[in-house]
Amino acid sequence: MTPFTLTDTPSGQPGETLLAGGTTLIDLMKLGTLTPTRLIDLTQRRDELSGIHEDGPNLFIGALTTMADMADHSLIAARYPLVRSALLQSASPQIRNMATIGGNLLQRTRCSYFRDPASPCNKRHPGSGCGAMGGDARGLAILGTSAFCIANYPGDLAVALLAVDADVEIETPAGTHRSIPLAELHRLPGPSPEIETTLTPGEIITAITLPVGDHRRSAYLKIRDRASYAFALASAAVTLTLAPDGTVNRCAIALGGLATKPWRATAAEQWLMGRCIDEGTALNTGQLAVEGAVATPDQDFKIALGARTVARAILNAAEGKLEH
Amino acid sequence: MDHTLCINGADHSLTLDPRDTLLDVLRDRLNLTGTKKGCDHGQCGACTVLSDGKRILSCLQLAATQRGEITTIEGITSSDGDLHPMQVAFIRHDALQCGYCTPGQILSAIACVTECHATSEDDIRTWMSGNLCRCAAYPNIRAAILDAAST
Repeated sequence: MTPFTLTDTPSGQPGETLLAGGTTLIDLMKLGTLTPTRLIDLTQRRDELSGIHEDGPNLFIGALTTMADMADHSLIAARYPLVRSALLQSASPQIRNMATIGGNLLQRTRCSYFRDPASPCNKRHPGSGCGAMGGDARGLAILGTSAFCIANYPGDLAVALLAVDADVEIETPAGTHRSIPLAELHRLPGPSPEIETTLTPGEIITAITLPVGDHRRSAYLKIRDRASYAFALASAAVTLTLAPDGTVNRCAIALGGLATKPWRATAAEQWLMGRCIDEGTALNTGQLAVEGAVATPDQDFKIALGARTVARAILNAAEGKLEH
Repeated sequence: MDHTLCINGADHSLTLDPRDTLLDVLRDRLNLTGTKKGCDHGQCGACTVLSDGKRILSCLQLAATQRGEITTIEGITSSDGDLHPMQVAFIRHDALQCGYCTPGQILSAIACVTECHATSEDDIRTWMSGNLCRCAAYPNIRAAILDAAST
């Protein structure tokens, strides 16, 4: 790793980055992908910024809460089972003991051209080009891409949180606070893929809040090359409620693995509303969820895979089955 | 920067480069070479140690920010020198070939049992998925863990 100063006081200078669990940052620093000169040790604020508690009907999760602690929490299991399922299908037990919720939301793409400092990458080095286009794009995005970047957002937790309408609490360098829907945290790459979030320099995610909701019919389905310890080729978070006549009266569908940021499939949701769930309506919803996908030949299979993943997740959710 | 690490019950006051990982400090500064460097990127689990009883990857942990008490493979034998029951089980079930992943497997397995995640083969398959074994000793590793969990 290139040298850096470890401190607990942000200076707001360029070259500064936050250290929480370190499971993304230290990996990328060892590769030379990221070369910060100052690391702000957020773990010094662990007592203040971790923990889960009720906030009226809502649930408040401190951003330094570990993935393991959040997955194990009784209120997460009881009220947001798809979020627990997403967490437990992520990473490994060791990583989940180290990684924090805030850090997990901000994880970087696994695109090998981003990770390799010798490759052209507009995200890592603006203007240098994109090695993935015309290269190995199999695991990369088919939704939300631009002419500058096709890197996918690899995480699971953000996808499940998007489906439950989570909010993100942010502390500014001036010490004030603001709150945004999670849907407004991540940005599309557009012409500036190096800017991944709407956070301004020096801002810290301090917590997420989960609004009360009925998630008894929900699922997080993760499809990947291995049965464990692998990122998603395609994933779907679904939560829905049924009216007494069996028609859908509320639904949220979010996709992972396939898009440049956690992806809410609103057109698909709107189509499913008022309909009964069967294999036909589930698959049609899935196809709507991936409409507009742009795929290279080696990504082509992911259009059908994405549609079927959504369909299977809808069927599982309707039955009250959490996974596959 | 000066920092104190507590390893296997003993305090070590060290002057560290901020870039020093816990893994490198254990192996190169403290001569505790039982913990292995497999991938150095948090993907194989060979570097697994316990921090306040929880399994972590020492290759991704900066030594200067490590605050919990660390247990390594050297620290699980009893004060009389008796092997830990998990070590006995690994030997009984021939749960290793080259042995390189084994210290990480054993510490991860001890935590897996403490977490109550070793109640079935399927459970163990899932909850030990962060420890890779290129010799494919997995069936015997699972048998060893089931055995140790039941005693």
